[in-house]
Amino acid sequence: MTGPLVSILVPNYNYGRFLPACLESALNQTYENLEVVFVDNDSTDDSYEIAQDFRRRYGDRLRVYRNDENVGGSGNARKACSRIDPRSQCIIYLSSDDFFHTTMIERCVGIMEAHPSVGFVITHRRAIDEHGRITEEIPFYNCDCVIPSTEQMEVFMMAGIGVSTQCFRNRHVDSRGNILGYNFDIAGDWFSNFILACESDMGYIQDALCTYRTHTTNVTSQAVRNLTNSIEHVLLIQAFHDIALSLERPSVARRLEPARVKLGSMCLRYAAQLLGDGDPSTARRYLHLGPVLRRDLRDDPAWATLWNLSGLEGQALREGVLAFEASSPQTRRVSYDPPPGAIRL
Amino acid sequence: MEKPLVGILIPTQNNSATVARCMESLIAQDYENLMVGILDNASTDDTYDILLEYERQDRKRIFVARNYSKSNPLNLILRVRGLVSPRIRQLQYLMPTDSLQPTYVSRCLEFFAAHEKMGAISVHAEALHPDGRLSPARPWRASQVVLSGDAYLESLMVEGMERRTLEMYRTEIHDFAYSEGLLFNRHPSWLPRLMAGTISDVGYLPDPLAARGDAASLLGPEFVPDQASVFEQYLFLQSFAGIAQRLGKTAISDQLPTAVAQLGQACIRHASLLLDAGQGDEAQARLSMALAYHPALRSTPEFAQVARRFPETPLDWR
Repeated sequence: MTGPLVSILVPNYNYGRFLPACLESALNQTYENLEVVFVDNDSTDDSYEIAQDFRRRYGDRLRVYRNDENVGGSGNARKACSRIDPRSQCIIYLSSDDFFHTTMIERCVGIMEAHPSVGFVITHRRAIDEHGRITEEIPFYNCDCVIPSTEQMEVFMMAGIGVSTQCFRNRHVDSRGNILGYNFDIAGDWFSNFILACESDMGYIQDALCTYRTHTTNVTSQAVRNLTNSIEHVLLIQAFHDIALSLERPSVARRLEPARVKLGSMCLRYAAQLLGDGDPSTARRYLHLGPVLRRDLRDDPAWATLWNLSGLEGQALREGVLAFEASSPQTRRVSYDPPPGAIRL
Repeated sequence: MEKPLVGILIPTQNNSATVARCMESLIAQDYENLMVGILDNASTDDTYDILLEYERQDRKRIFVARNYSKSNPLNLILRVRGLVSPRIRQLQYLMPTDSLQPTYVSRCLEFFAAHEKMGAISVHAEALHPDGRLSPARPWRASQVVLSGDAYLESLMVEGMERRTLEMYRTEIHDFAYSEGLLFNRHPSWLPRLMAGTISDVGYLPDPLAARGDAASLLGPEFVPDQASVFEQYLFLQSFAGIAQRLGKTAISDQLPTAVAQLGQACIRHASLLLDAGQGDEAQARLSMALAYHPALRSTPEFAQVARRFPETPLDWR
């Protein structure tokens, strides 16, 4: 058999309805040398039976476990991780409502095999809703590439890359624990990507090799409504700054202020979104919060426009928001060049 | 009666000015069965040497270790826990700027022994200045009480976490706190306090058996926490309400808006103090923060009074 052993970890809670697509995709990879570890977190649906059924069809390649009691999302992820084959060299988590493209593992491992300095690979993704409708997104970088550690940390200081999962070398499991003591509820992926980037170069694949599920009741919208989303980001970049300093990466730490300014500007985007949702009072909270992070934000004409809009109601508000969004698009429409020092693949 | 083993855990970092005072207060305890673990976080002054001297004098009870590269505050708190025996029954975190009265530990243990359902004790603390002067603070409650977990939680939510106290925990109650997985880097002591209230009663001792020398204690209402602290405080309140709601304690989670409004009011006070200190930009940010937390504060006299001190009034302050 060629290539290192790879473990796909599938922690699950009550996603039985999405599970067949997920497990099929994990078990039908073009890459040969892999194991799939499924851990059911005491689901109340038929998840466990579905997994057992897959186990009968696929044999030892899939291992199925069940917890006697629900141990929480992150607890279950840790359980899955503790059950990998000790010979495994790469780990990738797969959320049980998502699924992979058949070449996912082959392509990720390909980059790590060709570039020993790469400790983790992230891939672009596409969204699928509960009814199976797919939405394409715009890749973060405009090519497949390998990005050096420090340069990628600088990028993460300014922006999280929306990823569903990352394929990383097993040795990172131990080293990641060293930065214990930080915990980010909402931006956990962003944080763990940053930590991985602290320790090694990053591989990036611009093809959407992972399809992630969007749910109508997701945590993010609640976090936007009570401001915790933005406020946690402030503490996140502060943590990045402190970690970068302790690792002697001053170029990363210097980006703290620009990153705060960017978060301040992001408040305008949330305010616009909330005005569009008909929630001007929360929009106003964002318009107060923005200038805390970016001192001159009130001089931005967009700030004044949104502030005035937040005093309107009904038809006038709806029309105003539409006009605002038409004049200043609020979503990213381009992919970026990788930073200097990156290797284009 | 058998005397339970009590663990006292101290993280230090460049505390040569106060650490001896703290250690002396431990040696002077009238309770013998103590185990003191101290982890020095890469001090650049002689804190570590001072500690080694104490360890030499009492190797059976004092354990000193050192981090050679700095770790963040919470990591430090978790690491120092490993220095003392797993057999400790009571656990006390102490800052090197704090100091205890000789009867502190014995009084706490008596209190614990009298109330089996009590998982933690809050002890009233005075402020201890660098010159050794004590300035008294008003106790939180007039007399010794045992509060039900719910009553304690409600008081934390409504009256805030900032209280002049030191907490001693039953070990398993303290360790249980980390089962929640939520950690607050700038306020690591808050989660154990709140989690203790979710499973046990909490006691309060109004006698000033302890003294605290950190900036917040010394400055009292004049203390201005940094911006990141106040942001973290907001996240803490949100998590607190989330935990209470999950446990079905809606009487507590319903108090969230009140608690957030109080945080906003605190921001207004900070802004005023920052202006006094000549930090206009930071003051302006803090005043905006107050409104982000609780927009209705805009129409209060307190807000108007501070806002008036700025040369220009931004549109959203009017």
